[in-house]
Amino acid sequence: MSTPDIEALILRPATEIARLIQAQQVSPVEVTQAYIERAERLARLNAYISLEAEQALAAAHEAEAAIASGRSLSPLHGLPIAIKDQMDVAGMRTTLGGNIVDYVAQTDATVVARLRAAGAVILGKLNLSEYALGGNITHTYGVPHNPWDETRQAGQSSSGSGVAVAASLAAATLGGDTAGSIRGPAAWCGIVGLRPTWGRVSRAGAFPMAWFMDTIGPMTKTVADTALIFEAIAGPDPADPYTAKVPVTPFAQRPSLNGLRVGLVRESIDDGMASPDIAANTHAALKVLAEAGAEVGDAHLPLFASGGLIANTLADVEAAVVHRRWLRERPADYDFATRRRLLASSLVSGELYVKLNRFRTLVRRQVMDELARFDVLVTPAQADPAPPIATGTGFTSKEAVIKQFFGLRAHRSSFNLAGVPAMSVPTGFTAGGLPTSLQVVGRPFEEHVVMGLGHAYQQRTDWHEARPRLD
Amino acid sequence: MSTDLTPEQVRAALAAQGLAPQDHDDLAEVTHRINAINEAALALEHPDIESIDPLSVFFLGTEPEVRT
Repeated sequence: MSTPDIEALILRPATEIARLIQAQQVSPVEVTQAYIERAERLARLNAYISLEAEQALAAAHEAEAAIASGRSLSPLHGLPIAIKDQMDVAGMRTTLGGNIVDYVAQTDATVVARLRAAGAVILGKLNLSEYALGGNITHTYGVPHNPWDETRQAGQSSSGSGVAVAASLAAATLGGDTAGSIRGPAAWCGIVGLRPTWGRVSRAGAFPMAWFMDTIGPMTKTVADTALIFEAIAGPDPADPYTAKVPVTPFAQRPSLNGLRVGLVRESIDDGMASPDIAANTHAALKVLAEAGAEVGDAHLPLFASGGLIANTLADVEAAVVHRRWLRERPADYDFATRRRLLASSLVSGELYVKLNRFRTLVRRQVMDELARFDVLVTPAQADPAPPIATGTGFTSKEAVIKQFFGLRAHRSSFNLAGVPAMSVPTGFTAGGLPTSLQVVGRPFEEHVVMGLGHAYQQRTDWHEARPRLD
Repeated sequence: MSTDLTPEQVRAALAAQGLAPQDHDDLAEVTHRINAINEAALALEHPDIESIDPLSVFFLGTEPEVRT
């Protein structure tokens, strides 16, 4: 076995590393050890809550022996992957990023069991906004730092998952996305993040935020990496009764870009809805797609700007119920911003909740109408680049709440509400060197179309090859 | 006419559920948050809204055909 430069190798996309492991040109033990050492060296980024070196190396040795004896389980056998600490991994701590929960899981979440069945090496558990809610100011396990500018936020709530991929502390990660928690950190960290169709990937063994919008998905350097992980975890699961029996179309059967109808959601970018650098990079990405044969047109979602209000309020009402007992018995153990958010959501009236669910149905109709006209919709994944790490909420008036809180995740909210697949793909950088990203949205269960467009874009650009300077 | 809840009304509504703010800052921000939700949601309007079912999940194959 001729070992390539391992330090350089672990900066490469997961598919490249996996291919070398399968070809026995590199040992999964060496790769795993290299990620562990890098994660320890860059512990200041606060990506991990639990780095489980002993367990990971044991799994890597098993993978090495299996592959050497011709018993490879899948193309990702031996690949080191890390998990958002919202999902149980047998033998590892679950903390949910907060002060209230801390136990060693006895069983794997379904997604983790599927990764292990495919031969993945689980490196450990990743930091997150507490309880996967997003918006907390204090962090029990340290504030996750954006690898592109360590004074800035990494996104919410799958922050550690975004940091770990961008900083090459794992080959790939799993995140959870209820109201944008995969696509948001992916966008700010300059990586790919896929929110699958609701019901496409099992949530069994993951702590809920809002059951009717929760999803789990991959966060990776490239779209091809995302496809590798997605195909390992997708599909029905008896332990999650809401998983669909719709067959997963392989990434290999993705459509050609030629003639693919791409609709730019004008409400996501016109009238200052995206910052100038992000708008410019979105238009530049669409130019690339059009030159490659895509038919780009204008799409419209009249309720787009209200998505944040509808999605956040509905999700937070659900979360407030999930947390009710702890809110009563241990309120001081929450971050102050989380506690205030959950207390306020506890006061939403039934009348208002029903009204917002009616609007949710309308949003879904609007999204599906446009997805009848177009094969995919696109928007910027974030309206603004990563902001400085927050020290307070700034919610000193109701006007400030309306402006900051409801607008914050509006670019992803319509698609959480609609339950359709959506993915962040890097499109470059702002003048200040912060990542920008395109959101690609598809019809239910057409992840292969979403990933197909993202992959085609990455075949024609090299933004996904950029790496932050960290050492 | 303002429909905003006062901090004392918010405190009472929380107490009815066995909940309580930790301090004055908590109460002030919770009040801003719920008033913001109420105001923004009240402003949402659509002519057909009363005839639309408030679905909480969407299952493929069980909803009406999309309109084109």
